[in-house]
Amino acid sequence: MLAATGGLFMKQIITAEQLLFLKRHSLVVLFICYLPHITNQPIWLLFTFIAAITYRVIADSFHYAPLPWWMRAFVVISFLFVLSSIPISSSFFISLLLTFIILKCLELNTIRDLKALILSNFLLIFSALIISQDLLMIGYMFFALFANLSLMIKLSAPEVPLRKISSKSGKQLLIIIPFSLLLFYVFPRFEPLWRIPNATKVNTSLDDKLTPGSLSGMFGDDSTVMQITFTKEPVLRGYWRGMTMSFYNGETWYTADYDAKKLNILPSLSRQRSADYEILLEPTHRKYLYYQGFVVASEPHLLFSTNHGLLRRNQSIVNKRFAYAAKVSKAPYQPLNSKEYAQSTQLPPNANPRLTAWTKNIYRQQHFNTKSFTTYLKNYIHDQPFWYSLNPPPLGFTNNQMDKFWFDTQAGYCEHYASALTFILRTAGIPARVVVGYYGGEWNPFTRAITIKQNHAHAWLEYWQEDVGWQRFDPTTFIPPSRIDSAIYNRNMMLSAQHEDMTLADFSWRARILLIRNSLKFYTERWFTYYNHHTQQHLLRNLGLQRIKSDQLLQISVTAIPVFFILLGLYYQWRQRVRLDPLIHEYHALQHSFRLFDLRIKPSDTLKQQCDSLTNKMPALSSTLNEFIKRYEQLRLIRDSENKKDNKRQTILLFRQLRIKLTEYK
Amino acid sequence: MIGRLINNFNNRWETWVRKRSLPGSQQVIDTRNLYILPTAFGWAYGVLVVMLLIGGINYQNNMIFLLTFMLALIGMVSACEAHGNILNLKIKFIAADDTFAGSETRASILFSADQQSRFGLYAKFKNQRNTHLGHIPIDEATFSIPVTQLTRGYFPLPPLIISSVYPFGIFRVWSYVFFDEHVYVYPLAKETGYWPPPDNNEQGNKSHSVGDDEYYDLKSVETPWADPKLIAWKIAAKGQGWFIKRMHSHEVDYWLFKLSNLTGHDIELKLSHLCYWLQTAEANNKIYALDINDTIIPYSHGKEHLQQCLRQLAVYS
Repeated sequence: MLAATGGLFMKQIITAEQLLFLKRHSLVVLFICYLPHITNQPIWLLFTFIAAITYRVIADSFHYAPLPWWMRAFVVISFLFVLSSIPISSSFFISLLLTFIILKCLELNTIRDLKALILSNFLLIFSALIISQDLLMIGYMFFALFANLSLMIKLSAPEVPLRKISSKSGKQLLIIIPFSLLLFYVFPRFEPLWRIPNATKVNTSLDDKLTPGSLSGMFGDDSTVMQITFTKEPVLRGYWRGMTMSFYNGETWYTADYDAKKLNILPSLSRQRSADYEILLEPTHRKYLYYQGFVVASEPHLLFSTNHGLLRRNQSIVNKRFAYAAKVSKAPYQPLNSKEYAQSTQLPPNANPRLTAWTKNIYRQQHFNTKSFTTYLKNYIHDQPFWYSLNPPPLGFTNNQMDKFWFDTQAGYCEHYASALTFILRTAGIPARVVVGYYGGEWNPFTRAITIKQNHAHAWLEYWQEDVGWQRFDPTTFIPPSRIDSAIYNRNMMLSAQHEDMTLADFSWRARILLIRNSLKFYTERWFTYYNHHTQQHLLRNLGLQRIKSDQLLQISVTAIPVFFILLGLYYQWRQRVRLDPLIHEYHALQHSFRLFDLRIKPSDTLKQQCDSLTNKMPALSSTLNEFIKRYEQLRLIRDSENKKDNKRQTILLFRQLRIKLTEYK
Repeated sequence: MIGRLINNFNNRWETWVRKRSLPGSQQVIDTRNLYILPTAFGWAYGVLVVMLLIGGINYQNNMIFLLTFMLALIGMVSACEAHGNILNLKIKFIAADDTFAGSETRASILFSADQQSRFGLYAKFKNQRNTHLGHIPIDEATFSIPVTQLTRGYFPLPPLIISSVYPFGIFRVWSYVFFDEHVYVYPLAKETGYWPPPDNNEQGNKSHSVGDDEYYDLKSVETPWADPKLIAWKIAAKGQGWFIKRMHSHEVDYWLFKLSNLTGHDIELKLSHLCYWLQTAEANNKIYALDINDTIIPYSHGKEHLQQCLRQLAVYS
């Protein structure tokens, strides 16, 4: 097609100096786009990337000849060799892309290479966004886009000054951002078209087994696990259940096997069953979801059982952010069946003989009464020198860990207490189980959301009380403050100081800044980074558009694009008109009235020629036209710099008068 | 087959384009004669946007969605910007010097951008070398655009193609400007190896006798048959090759260059020889006239006279 347009292919002509400048510009842009990969990718890639850029800068400055073919072949083969050791995954493809870019850097010689680099830069931004969706990444995305656009402008017109480029790229972004956001909110969120390997970075998460020491290691980790918003009363000091662990081998607690068919599919939320809380869960790489209370309905459909917890409908692991909402109610009482009883009283044979003997003795003293036995245990923990410690002495890998903890070390983190107390209760024949999840969370009074972090990880237990059901028992709450590790104590104090109606004044300066940052993060994640099908439906409902379905949203999005294009065209036309000189505008109007007399006007025709042609056609107008030309020429003759403005005004007036006369005549 | 189709399309396209714009020495580019299509880079950019959209759906990544939408809209804005970069550009033909076949002449063209600065503009005459105009300020600027014609004649200027890929290189916008102007292309001067006899019959000329012609020197040639009278037969007879005698006269300043004086069948070659004589005569400040097939340009000298003679050679058919 292009060839058919009369040799249209116009080879871009740029000077060697301009090309050198373009190359340097492109290296800066490439570096900006690469930034997030510095921490995401293997160190050898970073070093080769820096080496390639350095080589390029030196080679351009000293006009080195391109690398010989054997050296290029050697570099390519070496890269292929290293890449072949990486398993096929998202990070393999990202490494492949980076390798391509590094190789391109070595061969950045022509305009065509620069164009290829621009396209690769967009892919680089894309891959960075797959890996991380932090708040900072939004800034990165805009900055990298801006930089790449500036390179595109510079490439199409190297003579454009940088200041002009900045204002141009900036203006373009300003025009497109509102419409992009509109499309962003309207475009339907589909399910993935095909399965893809997950590339999101995963932080440490709660394991589905528990050994003494497995949770205390998380105390220093303040990465976010989930954010919870409440529709009614917020739960500031809640126990967020994750895994229920029933099987104990004397050392480690495991989640019990379950029959997937027995898990209930929760009904979806509705107007009558609105959610009590909504959870935005970070990728955990576990299938267990966190919840509180007895879940009766959810959005999306989830599986639930008190014995096993809350799971996604397909029981898949959470490998990317997942949002769900739940409605809870009071748990109905249902007696334990024999299997449940057996599961929650299971103990390894011959474990902890001392603790077994002690338990039997005390339970007997408490007349085999569950309530008085648990009360005794609570008081015992309070009175005896039990320490709530972050660094408890190791218990060793023996079958008698709990003996050692209960009678010798008497210092432990929550999992030690949960483990020991569950053992004691089971030894007494009372069904009990360990529950692992999170406790508390940071309350943000602005966003009215609780942020739960890894260091809120907690383990507690539940025991069976006949005619009542499962009762929560958190042994660590009975340890007096004097025997609590100061770091844990401070954290607990902060938790207990939180209340629903806190204001900024309740926080220190540092905390205020953090709070504002967190609030910003919360809203960005809720309305941008983690905007999904459910949030979209929620938004549409709030706008009174609850009946719009995904395919209709797609139609709207597809229609919005040509609408944008038309509006844009109109805007540009309007801008041209605004910029048009009023004299030229009036001249065009006058020419239009000439055309009313079927006069063919060539672009090269002067005003006099046009008037002469009209006189020939309409002799009756000759005097008017002669008079007009005479006055016009007079005006042109006296035009000088001093009265230019006034002269122009008079000329416009003259044109207008003639135009009106011609229209009246017609 | 494909070549024929392309040719056919080219012709139809040019006829269509010609219909849409009236020729004239001054033109304003309007929407009627402004064309826009994505560049190869633009197509690649389009494919990239689609890839990003699929990536956004598959990874369910909102930032990628926003990036994709922004890139798609940037593409659209770029179309409008590119269009506006050439729209309403005023182009005025100023002059184009006569030239010799095969050598380059430059047409001076005035570009005025009344409303806004224009960037990244390229201009070329159809099938000619491209010129980077670069930035056209809000005022106006004159550029010389090269034209090379391989054969002599009086040719209409080929259409001027103005194009730009500004701002993002995604779309190419171009326009054809048809000027109502012509350019003279003279035959390329070729040395004859001898000088024609002077005009004996010129009235008012100083008395001139045959004996005045003096033998000046000999020049080795390959084909001496242009004027057999000047062949150095004695040397040829000795088998020492072809030489022609070069004559010199102190008296004669009037020269009539006649096409019929040149022998041979190649008319283009003869015109080239005439061109050489004319230029040499002018350079040596002689008074000369041209007679080609009864079209006579009377005796004179000077730049204008030379131009008149050369133009006559250019249009000879």
